[in-house]
Amino acid sequence: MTDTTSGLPGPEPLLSARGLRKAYGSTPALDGAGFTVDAGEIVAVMGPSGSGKSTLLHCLAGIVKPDEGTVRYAGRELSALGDAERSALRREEFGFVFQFGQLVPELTCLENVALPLRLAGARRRDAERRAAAWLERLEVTDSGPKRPGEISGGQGQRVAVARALVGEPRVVFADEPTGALDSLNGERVMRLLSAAARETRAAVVLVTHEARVAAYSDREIVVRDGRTTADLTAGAL
Amino acid sequence: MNTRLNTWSRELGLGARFAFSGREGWFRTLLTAFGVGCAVALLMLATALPGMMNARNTRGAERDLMYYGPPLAAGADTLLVRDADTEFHGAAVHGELVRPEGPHVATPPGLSAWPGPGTMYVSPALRELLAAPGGALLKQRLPYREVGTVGDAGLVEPGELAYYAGDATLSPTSDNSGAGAVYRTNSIGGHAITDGLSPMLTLLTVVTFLVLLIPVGVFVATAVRIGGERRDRRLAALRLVGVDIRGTHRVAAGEALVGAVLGLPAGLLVFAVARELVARVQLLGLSVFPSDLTPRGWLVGLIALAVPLCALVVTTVSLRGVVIEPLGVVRAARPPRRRLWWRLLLPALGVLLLLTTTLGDTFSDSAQRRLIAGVASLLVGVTLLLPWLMERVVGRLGRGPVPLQLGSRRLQLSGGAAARTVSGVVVAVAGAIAVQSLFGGVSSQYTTSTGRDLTRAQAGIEATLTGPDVAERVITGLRSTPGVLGATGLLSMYVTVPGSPEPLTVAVGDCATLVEYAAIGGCRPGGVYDVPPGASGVSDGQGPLPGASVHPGQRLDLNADDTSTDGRSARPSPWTIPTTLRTVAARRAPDGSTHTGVFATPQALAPGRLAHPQLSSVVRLAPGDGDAIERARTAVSAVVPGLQLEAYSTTTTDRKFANIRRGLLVGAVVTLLLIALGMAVSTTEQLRERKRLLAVLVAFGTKRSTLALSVLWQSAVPILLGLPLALAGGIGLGALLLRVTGQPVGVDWGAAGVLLAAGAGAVAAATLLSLPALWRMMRADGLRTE
Amino acid sequence: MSIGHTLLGLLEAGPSHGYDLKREFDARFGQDRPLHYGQVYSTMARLLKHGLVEVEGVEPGEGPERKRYAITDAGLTDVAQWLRTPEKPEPYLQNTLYTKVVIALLTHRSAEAILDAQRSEHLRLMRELTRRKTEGDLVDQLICDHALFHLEADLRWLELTAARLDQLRTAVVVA
Repeated sequence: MTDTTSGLPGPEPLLSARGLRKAYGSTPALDGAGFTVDAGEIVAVMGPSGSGKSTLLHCLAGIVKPDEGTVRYAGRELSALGDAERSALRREEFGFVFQFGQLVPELTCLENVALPLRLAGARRRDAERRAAAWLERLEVTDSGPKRPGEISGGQGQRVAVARALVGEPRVVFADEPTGALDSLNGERVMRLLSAAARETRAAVVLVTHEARVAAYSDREIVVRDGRTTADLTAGAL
Repeated sequence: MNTRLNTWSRELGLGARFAFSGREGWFRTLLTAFGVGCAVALLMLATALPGMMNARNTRGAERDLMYYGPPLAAGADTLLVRDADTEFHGAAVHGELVRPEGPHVATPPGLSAWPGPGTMYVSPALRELLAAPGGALLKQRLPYREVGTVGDAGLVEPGELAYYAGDATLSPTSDNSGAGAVYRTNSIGGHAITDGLSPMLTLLTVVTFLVLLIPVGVFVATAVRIGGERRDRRLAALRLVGVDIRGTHRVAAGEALVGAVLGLPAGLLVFAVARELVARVQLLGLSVFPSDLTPRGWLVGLIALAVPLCALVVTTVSLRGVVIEPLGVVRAARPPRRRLWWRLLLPALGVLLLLTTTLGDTFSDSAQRRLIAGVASLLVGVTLLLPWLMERVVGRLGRGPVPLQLGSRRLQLSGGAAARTVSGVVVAVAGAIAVQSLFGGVSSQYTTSTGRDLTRAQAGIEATLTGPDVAERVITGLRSTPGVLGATGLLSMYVTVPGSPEPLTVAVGDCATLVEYAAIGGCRPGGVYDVPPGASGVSDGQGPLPGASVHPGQRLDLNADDTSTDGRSARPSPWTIPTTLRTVAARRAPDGSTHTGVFATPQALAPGRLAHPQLSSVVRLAPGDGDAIERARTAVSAVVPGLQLEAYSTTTTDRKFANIRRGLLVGAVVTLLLIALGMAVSTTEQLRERKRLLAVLVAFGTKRSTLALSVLWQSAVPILLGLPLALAGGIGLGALLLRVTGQPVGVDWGAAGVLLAAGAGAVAAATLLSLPALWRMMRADGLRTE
Repeated sequence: MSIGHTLLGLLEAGPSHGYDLKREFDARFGQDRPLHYGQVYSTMARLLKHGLVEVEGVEPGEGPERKRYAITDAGLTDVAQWLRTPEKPEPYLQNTLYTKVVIALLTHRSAEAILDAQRSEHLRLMRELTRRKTEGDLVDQLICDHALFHLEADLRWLELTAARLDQLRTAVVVA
C-alpha cells in the first residue's frame, strides 16, 4: 500500500479514525471507537445490533460529525471540512450501499446508477453509458429500463452496488448490503461487490452481522457498546 | 339490516377516531375543517348578498326627499331642502339642509323630528368622526350643534356619514337644478325601488362567487387527501384484521366526514364573526348592518347537507384507483394513458352553455342557471385538462439536469396528485382573470379619462350658481384658504347670436384665470379676447372647435337666453364687443376642457351682468398638504353648502366598481395563498415519507440545492403548465362572459399579470414553506434504521 | 475438550479435593458424560507431574480422595494460555467453547476476549473457504458452503453467548 497524499513518515492508512464518540440525545452510540482501512482493503465491521456499527460508518463517511475524535481520509481531517466539502468528498471519492430503500423509486435503474456521476457533473449521455456498463458487470442489464419497484430485492441491491461503484470511488461504504436478502442473493451481491472492489482497488467498509458476509473481507473489527475491539487477526496468539 | 347498520356506524366511528390520531390526523382534520369552513362561510355570504343589496336600496329609497311633481306651494306638510352632500378625505357625507314650512311635515326613517335652525342630527359614524381629532376640519364645515342621532333605519350602512341640519335661511330658488338649489317637497320617503339586483350585478355576483368557491372546493378536495398514503397503510392494516374493501371506504369516509362536519360550525362561526365585523369595519369602503346579512334558512340547510356530502364524494373518488389489500396498498403501477376527448367534453359544454346565454334587460332564472352551469363546467373542465397536459409534457422532461429529472420523474409517477393540487391554482387564476376581464369591460363605461392636468391644478369646481356675488365669494374664500396656492374663477354663459346656429360662450375672469383658457400673451385688465371656433390651438384631435363667430363692435344681448324664471323673456341686456378685441388661440384648461368664445376681464364686462353663469374654478393646492383640499372644501361650503369641490385624478372610476374589483383580486390572492399552504403541507408530508431516501441521497453527497430545486421543479412544472392554461381559460371565459353581457371583448392584462404572478408566487411560497422540512429530512438521522 | 485445563481452571477458583473437583465438573459440564474417578485421578497425577498443581494437604484417612490440590503459578499460566488460544474451527465445538467461557467467568477473566479470539479464528477459516468457493467449481462451492454454514452456526451461537454473558455470569457464580 502506498501513501501519496500524506507527507508524514511511514504509510498512513487511507481512512482512519481515533477516539470517536457520538451520542444521539443521551444514548451513546459510539464511545471511543477507532478504525483504519487501507486502499484496496475490505474491512468488515461486526457486532451485535445497536452496538454502533452504522454510526461508525456514518462518522467514517463524513455523513455525521462525531462529538469527539478524529477521522482522517487521505491526509485530510474530515471534521475540519465544511458540509459542502464533505458532500463533495462523498460525491467524488466515496460510494454507498445500504440495506434497502436507497434507489430513487421514480428513476429507472439505469438513471439511478447514473445519478452519482450526474451529481458530480457528468453529462447525461456519458453517465448513462458508464452506468450501463456497470449494470452489465453486476449482471442486471435487464433491470436498466425498469423502475426499482419492478425488480426483485436481489436485483435492486446489485443495482445499488453498481451505483456505489460507478464513480470508481476510493472507499465504498456498505451498510448491511445483504441484510434484506436470502443467502443465495446475498452471496451473489457479495461476490460481485468484492470482486468489483478488488478490481478497482476500492477500499470497502462493510458493516454486517453475518459471518458469511464478513468472510468476504480481509479483516474484521468488532464493535461492542460503542467501542471497537483491538485488531484481533494479527494478535490472536 | 340492523347488524349492517351497526357495522356501518362502527366503521364510520372508527374512521372518526382516526381523524384525531397523531399529528397528521389532527392536521388533516383541521385543514379540512378550515377549507370546509371557508366554503360554508362563502356560500352563506353568497346567499345573503341579494337580500343585503335589497335592504340597502330600500333604506336609500325610504329616506329620499326628492320631489318630482308639479311645483308646490308652501303648506303645512312642505319642507324646503338643500342637498348638502360633501366629501371628507375620500369619504362621502350625505347631508340635507332642511326647513319645515309647517307643523305636519313627515320625517324620514331614522329621524324622530326635524332639526331646528342651527342644529343637526348626525349618524353615529359622523358623530365619531366629528369628535375625533381628525374631524376638526369637517366640524368647521358643519357649524351646527348636534342635538340627535340619525337612527339605523335612516342609514344605508352602519359606517355611513350622514347629517340633517336645520337652516332657517332656506328659501326656494328659482332654478332647482344648480348647486345650492333649494327645492320644496312633500314627498318624504317610501319611494318605490326596482326589486332585486340589476342583471349585470347579479351576473357579477354569481360569477365572482363561483370563481372564489370552486378553488375552495379544490382546496377541500386536496385537504381531505392529506396524509392519504399513511391513511391507505392504516386501511391496509384494517383489511388484515378482516374489514372488507367497502368497509375501508367507509372508514376513510368517516375520517373525512369529521373534518367536513367540524367545518360546518367553523363556517357558521366565520360567517357570524364576519357579519359582526362588517358593521364595525369599513371593508372596501363598505360597511353592512349585520341584520342585512341574513341568509335564507333553507339555503343554509342545503349547505349543511351538501358540504359534508361533497367531502364524502371526494374521498370515495380518491380511493377509486387504489386497491387496499391486507398486505399493503396497490396502486396501478402504470396508470392508463390519459385520453383527451372526454376531458374536452366539459369545457365544450361550458362554452356551449355560455354561447347560448344572453343577458338582456332581465336575467331570467333559466339564463341564470345556464350561466352558472356554463361557468362551472368551463372552470372545472380546465382542471380536467391539466392532468392530460402534464402527462404529455412531463414525459419529455426527464432528460434535463438532475433536479429537473428528479422532479419530473416524480410527477410522471404521481402527477395526478400534483395536478389536482395545482388545479386549484389554475381555477382560481382562470376564474379571476375572467371576472377581471368582465369587470374591465363593464366598468369601462364607468371609467373615463378625465383629461385633468394635475400639474396645473389638483381640484376644481364646475357648478351653476345662483345669487349675486356668490361666485366671487367662493373664489375669494378659496384664495384666502391656507394651502391653496391659487384658484381661478371663470364665469361663463351661453349667448345666442342671431344668425348663428351655434351659441357663443361669453366668459369673464381675471387675467390669472383667462391665461389658463387661452393663449393670451400680455393680458391686462380691461382686455377682451376672442378664441374663434376652428382656431385649434389645441391638438386634441377633435377637429375644429365649435362655436359662433364674432367681430369687434358686434352687439350681443346677454339675456337673450334667460327664460328660467317664469318662461318669459327677460329684459334685454345689451353688450357691445369692444374694438380692442384680440384674437388668440385656445388653450386646454387644467380641467381638460377647451373653450371658444369671447373672454373678458371683469373691467371690460362686469361679472354681475351674466345671469345664471356657470362657475369654473381650478385650484392649485400646496403639494404634500393633505388637509388643503378639506380646508378648501370647508371654505366653499361656507359660501354654498353642498357645492362640491372635486379632487382631480387622471381617471375617474365608479368607486364601487373599483372596490369590487380590488376585493376580487384580494380574494383570489388569498385563495392562492390558501392553496399554497395546502401544497406546502402535502409536499412536507411527501418529504417525510421519503425521509430515508433523502438521507441516502445526502450520503451520496447530493447538494441541498439539488434537492431543493427538485422540490421546486416538482411544484413548478405543474404550475408552469397550469398558468398558461389558466390564462387561456380565463381569457376565453372572460370573452364569453363579455359576449353574454353584450360588451366588447377585451382582456384585463394588468390583472392577468398580477394573478399569474400570484400563482407563480403561490408555488414559490409552497416550496419555501416546505424547505425547512427538507433541511430537517436531510440530516443523516434518516439513515438510522427504525 | 481438555479435561486437564478444565480441572485446572476449576482449581484456580480455590484448592479442592479430587472428589469435589469431579462433582463440580459434572455439575457444570458433565450433563451427558460424567467423569470417572479414574479419569480425575489420572489427570491430577499428570498435572502434578508437570508441576501445574501441588498437593496442599492430606486429610487424615485413606485413599487418594483425601488429597487437597492447589494450582501452581505454572498452572495459572497454562490456564491463561489455554483460554487465550482459539480452538481450531471445526463443527461441534460448543462443549469446549462453553467450558472455556464458564472457566473464564469463574476465574474473572474476560469471556468476551475468548469469543472475539474464536470469532477471529473462525473468520480466518471462513475467508479461506470463501476464497476457495469463489475460485472453485460448483462442487467446491457446495462443499465449502456446507462448512461455511456450520462455522457460521458456531459463530452465531458464540454471538448469542456473548450477548448473554451477564446472565451466564450470574448463573455460573451462584451455582
